[in-house]
Amino acid sequence: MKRTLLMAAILGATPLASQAVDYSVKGYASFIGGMTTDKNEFRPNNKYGDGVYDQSFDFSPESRVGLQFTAQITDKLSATAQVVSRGALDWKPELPWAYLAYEFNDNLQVKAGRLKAPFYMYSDYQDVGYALPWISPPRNAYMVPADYMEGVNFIGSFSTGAIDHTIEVFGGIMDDTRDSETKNEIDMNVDVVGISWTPSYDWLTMRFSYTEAVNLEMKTPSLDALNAGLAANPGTDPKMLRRVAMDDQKSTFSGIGLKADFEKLFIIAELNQLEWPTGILAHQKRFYATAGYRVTDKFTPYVTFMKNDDTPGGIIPTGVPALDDGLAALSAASDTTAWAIGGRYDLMPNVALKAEYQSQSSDRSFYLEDVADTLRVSVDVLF
Amino acid sequence: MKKLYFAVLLIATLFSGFASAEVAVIVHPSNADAISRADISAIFLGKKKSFPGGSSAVPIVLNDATADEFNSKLLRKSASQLKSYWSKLVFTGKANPPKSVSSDEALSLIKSNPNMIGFVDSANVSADVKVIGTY
Repeated sequence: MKRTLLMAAILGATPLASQAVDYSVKGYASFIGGMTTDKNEFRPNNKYGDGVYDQSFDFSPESRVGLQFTAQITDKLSATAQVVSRGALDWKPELPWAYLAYEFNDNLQVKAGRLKAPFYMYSDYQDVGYALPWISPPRNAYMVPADYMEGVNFIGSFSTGAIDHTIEVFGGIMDDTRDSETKNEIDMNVDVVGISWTPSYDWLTMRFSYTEAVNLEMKTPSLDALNAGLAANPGTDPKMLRRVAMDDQKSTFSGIGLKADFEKLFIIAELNQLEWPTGILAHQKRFYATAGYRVTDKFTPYVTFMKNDDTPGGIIPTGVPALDDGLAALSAASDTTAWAIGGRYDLMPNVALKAEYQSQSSDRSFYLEDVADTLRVSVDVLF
Repeated sequence: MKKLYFAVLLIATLFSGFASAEVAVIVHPSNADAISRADISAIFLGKKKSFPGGSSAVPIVLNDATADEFNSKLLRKSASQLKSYWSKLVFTGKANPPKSVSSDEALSLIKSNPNMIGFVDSANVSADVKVIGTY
């Protein structure tokens, strides 16, 4: 019915710009099932603590449905809300996006409200499975366990010759939680400010991003216990206390992304780094590269290589084995190497089927989820 | 030899079958801008929102098979690639895809709206729109 009214408004309007508010509803859904083929567990998205695959085939860890409501209030002003319901959160609806957008002109847009912090190359539409070549972006490089911020985001675009540039500047407060009933829940409150530059030339797109996070507070049950233990122990170096107390830390995220498209063959790569100049956590250096090939209009297989090359956080031993174990766990580095093989089949113009097998291995793995082998299949839909 | 001749004929028939539909890109008769193939592609992908002369450009697309022809010839994208492309922009609040209408609606909209640009099967072009290119 709305569609018909909308159509009538468009067709009847001369000139086109109509005074009435133009509403639209669009949606997407991904139904993803998978299991690990060894005895380990695999968490495909670091933000959703309970979204974990194990040896029994399960549809809940990653499946999701999103609905987006947009009201075009004037030519330049619009309001958007996106509701997402995920299996990993027992299908409780979340509101990852709720913002006002204003277009100053064709080349400058600002959004204000609840937004996704755009750390990575695929942050913006990470949930829209249909728009991704994989079932999900390689999780090793999408490592920040928080997504949402309340803030502003400016997007400007311009061209120099044949190169189109997009510059994004954002800032806000991330007051986000990694929900989990069974795994270590993370509660985070942090001020972020970041910038990204995306130049693109015909077949090549690059992306450079940098985000600084300050006043970072992080709480997890095990962190709280460790802090209490360290404070009670007379042998703890004061430096260690400051580095473990996650109440006023600083963190930086930097990323380089690349997409090269040669009609049939395409390559996607990202190198993302999360550093903790004041805290005890490991410096995470994460890389992946995917090469895909469009065999036909419908069938696109790919291979992905992933590498974690973290540096453990520095520790001054306390002399108490239990505390030192806690410090080692907190500062642990991942050095996993992984590969994946998968493919996408476009069943209909708005339905894609995908499958992926991923195998990980590590020399000195602390995280068991770093060594799981996982098989997943998905149906991605737009509506 | 006869077999070869037959094969060539068969292939030629097949190809002529594929290439039968020509797409005519159309604007309002008063639109005097020189609009290149690159401009057309940029306007239909939401990368440009105005004609080279500066006035705003509103693309409309078709809901029939001519659209596939247009997408592959001018935008160089399959139907799913184009869906993917727009879903990225839609779900990040960056842009919305052009409205899609029937061929007759496209013709009647464009003849009365100087800001619009569209396309129809070249066999269906009417006298009150201006063809800026056939592909």
